[in-house]
Amino acid sequence: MNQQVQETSSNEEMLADTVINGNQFLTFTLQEETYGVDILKVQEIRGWSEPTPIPNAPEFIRGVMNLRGEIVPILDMRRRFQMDETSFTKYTVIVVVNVRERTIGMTVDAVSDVMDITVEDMKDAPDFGTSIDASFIRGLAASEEKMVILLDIDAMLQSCELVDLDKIVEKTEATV
Amino acid sequence: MSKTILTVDDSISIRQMVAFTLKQAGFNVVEASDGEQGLQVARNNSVDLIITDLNMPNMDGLQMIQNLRGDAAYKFTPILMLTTESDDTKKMAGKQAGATGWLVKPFNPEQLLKVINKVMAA
Amino acid sequence: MTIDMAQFQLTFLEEAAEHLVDLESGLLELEQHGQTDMSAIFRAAHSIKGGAATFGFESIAEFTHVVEFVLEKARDGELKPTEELTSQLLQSVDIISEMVKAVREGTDVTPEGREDCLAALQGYIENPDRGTAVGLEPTSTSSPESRLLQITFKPKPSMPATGSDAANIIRELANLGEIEVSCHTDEVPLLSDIDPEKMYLSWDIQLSTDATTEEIEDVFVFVEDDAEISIETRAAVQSEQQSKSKESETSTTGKSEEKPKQQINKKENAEANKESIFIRVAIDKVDQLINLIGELVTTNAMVEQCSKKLDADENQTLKSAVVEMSSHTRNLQEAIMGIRMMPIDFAFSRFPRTVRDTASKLGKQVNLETTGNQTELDKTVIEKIVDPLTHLVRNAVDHGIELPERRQECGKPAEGTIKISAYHRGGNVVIEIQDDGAGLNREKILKKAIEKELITTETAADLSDEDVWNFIFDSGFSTADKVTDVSGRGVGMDVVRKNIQALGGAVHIQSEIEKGTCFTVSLPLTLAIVDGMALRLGRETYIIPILNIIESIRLQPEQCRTMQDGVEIVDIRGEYFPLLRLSEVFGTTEENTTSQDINAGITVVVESDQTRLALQVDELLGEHQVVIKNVEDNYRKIQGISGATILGDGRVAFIIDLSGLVKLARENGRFAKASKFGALKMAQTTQRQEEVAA
Repeated sequence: MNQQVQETSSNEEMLADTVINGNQFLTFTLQEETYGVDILKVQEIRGWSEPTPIPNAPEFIRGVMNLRGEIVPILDMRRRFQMDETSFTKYTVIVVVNVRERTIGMTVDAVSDVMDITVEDMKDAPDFGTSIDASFIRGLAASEEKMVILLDIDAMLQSCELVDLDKIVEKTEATV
Repeated sequence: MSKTILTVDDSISIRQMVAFTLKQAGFNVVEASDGEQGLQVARNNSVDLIITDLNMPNMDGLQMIQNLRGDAAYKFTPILMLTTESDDTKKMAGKQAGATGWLVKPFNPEQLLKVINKVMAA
Repeated sequence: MTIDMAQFQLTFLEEAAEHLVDLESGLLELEQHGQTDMSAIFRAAHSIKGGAATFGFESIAEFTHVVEFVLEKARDGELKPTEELTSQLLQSVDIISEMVKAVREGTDVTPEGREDCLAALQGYIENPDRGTAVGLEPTSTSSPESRLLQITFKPKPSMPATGSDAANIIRELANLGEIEVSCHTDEVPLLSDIDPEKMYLSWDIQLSTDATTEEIEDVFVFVEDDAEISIETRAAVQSEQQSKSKESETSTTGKSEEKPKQQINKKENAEANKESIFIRVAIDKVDQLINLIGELVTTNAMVEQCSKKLDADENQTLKSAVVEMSSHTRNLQEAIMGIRMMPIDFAFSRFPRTVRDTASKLGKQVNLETTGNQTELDKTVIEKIVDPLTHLVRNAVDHGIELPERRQECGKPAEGTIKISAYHRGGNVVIEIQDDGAGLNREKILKKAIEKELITTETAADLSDEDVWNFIFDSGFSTADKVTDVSGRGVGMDVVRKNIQALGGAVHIQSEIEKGTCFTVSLPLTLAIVDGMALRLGRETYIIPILNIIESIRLQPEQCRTMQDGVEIVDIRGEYFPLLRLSEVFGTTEENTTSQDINAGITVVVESDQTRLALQVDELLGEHQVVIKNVEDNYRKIQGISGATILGDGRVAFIIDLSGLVKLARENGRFAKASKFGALKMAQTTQRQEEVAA
């Protein structure tokens, strides 16, 4: 039930974002695909540095790093989406996002661009049959011959066990 | 130059409220937490008006007023006392000690400024 | 001008809490010694009432007014402070406390027994004048109409002595309408006879105003006893006429308006006030400072590390500047941490009441002595330690101190003594709660422990006293013959220990039968910083709080053995400890250097939850004072980890939470699942079997 509530609210949020806040997305690549996240959720972009591994954490959580005194967990997006592993290069970047008052870093292959995407450009996400859970996807957008998969990072991070379950429930109840 | 008011009260919250109100109204404010301190602060500063509580540790308000009236510098300075007692004996005692007027607690900032205006030319 | 009173309400509530403590301790002193500074406790109630009324808490003001009235009568000797009255007053302190708490927490609860208590207090006073405290002075409602007033104002010569200035009064009248003033100088004496401090003038004033008579009278309110005043309506539209005069004068002779000049020689004293003045600062501002200094300490460590790599000759100036900066940073850190420090008296001041209430309920006689009340520690630590300490104190009265008859049978004074003391030891504050009561009963505790299957009859005899005493911290472990009203309620000893540990502290028990029991609680000075030992595990650094470390030792393979269930035990000088390989518990084996080879790494013996265990790590890196960072801000709770810190090189290191670690190890089957003594028991059994075999 909470899950449903969450989805509804993030859909509404999406529409609201698009209409009110304009529609800029930061796009980045992961294994030849281009993904986009709402630029308003992005705090900063940083170069890769080895994080401190967290004991007994899921594989896709690389560890934590020190971001100006704050302890920030780092998600390996390739691992999260069960893609092939690559070694980290000088192009590997950490996109630091703010979601639900939390600061989280995501490793991506490279950051591409900031794109304007309008509601008309956006299409519903079909069920890909890929490794990426459809519930993480807000929609698809075609731009300059390129297909951009727009991620719903709220939903994605929630599924990443980044927060204790009871806290999610708490927060959901608070927003209802 | 704006006038300086000394507020003497052992209650921090009352003092804070009085000081805040007075500062808003453009006065300089110096503070003391009992009569003894009040005397000291008054003697170390040039104060144009004193607002004092009566019930305080170490030296109460009445004693402080009496002492101040003995100082040449404070012989005629307006002194207002704060009192929760609206009965006349306290007021009389205050007047006898040399208080200029009083303000009955509880009071609000507007009342405070009104009374100050009464005893001191702006 | 509108001023939001809400901003002062919080200050008032804090202040009220302080006054309540004074009130309570005063009343307790009164009860114990039959006397106390009555003026002080009256003043405390008086201040609460005054503030409550000013800041809009009518119900507190109303109730406290009655309390104040009773105290005033007691102060003036009109009421005898009987035991009954003191009890009633103490109860009323509780009720005020609850009302203050309700306001603070925004709950709208009327404390239980408020009305009864109020009625009881009113029984002590015949005519409590409840009206005066609440509500502002009544304002006039008579309808104002424009009219001409003739006012005579003839101050007594002594009027200036109260600081009243006739000019102010005339100015105030002028604000109320159109005014015409004439001044009489006929009473001014010859210059040689003039006393410059006296007032010789009087005035006739014609005022055309629509102000009410009350408003006019109000102008003279401060001087009505210092002057002759008459107010008459001349061109009266209203027939209403009020006169306050004892005599009326209307002669007009002079025109000049004079007033005595105030001769004030004020000392211009450039010296600022020497009084120690406190400012109240919101706690989050202080916390921000603490966070910032934490950053600075970290950055400083980074700079230090970088500068070490530089050539000493070429960078001499930089190097010495870095050394200096480090010293400033440390001083700054100490000073900032000091802001949050408060004397532990804030906690101790509650205990007289606790002891009194508990003792009287149980029919015991207890004398409480406290020392080291001024020992300072972090405000948050104090707030969090109050409840556990209160429980220990209550426990000492309930379980420690015997009934008077029993004490006399044992040749002790009928009155028991509880001593509470606080002092600094190293980076910690130690609080001791000592009673001269019956002491813990080893046999009784062991019997209970066996009943609860924590140990077996065979192993019982081998347990040290301290091990036995520690059973009382197990949940559901009560050795009281019957559950009393006192010990039956609230938290148990297990919660006490858990809360102390949550603060990074520890509690130990010493006890001797018939002599008494002493609980020793040690606490860190602050929650923001921990003294830690840095250790290496593979490529990572972890921190263990120094408080948990007993010793570190390099083991030989023969000191280690594996039990049937795979649990490893180490033998250190004849004592057996379960061994945890930290790399296994934390699942970081792949890069580990010491997975099998016990003598390649180092073993740290640690204590947590009164259980000692051995931790196998790769290397000890040295002691550090580390600033604790919250991991849960952006992530979830990590089992076995209490927080993180930032190392000199900017990387993150986790701080190990030992009790969480033990739990984690148990879940992973790397630690005896049964009880904490399971491993110990097995070790000892094995040892015996071997001895038999030999």
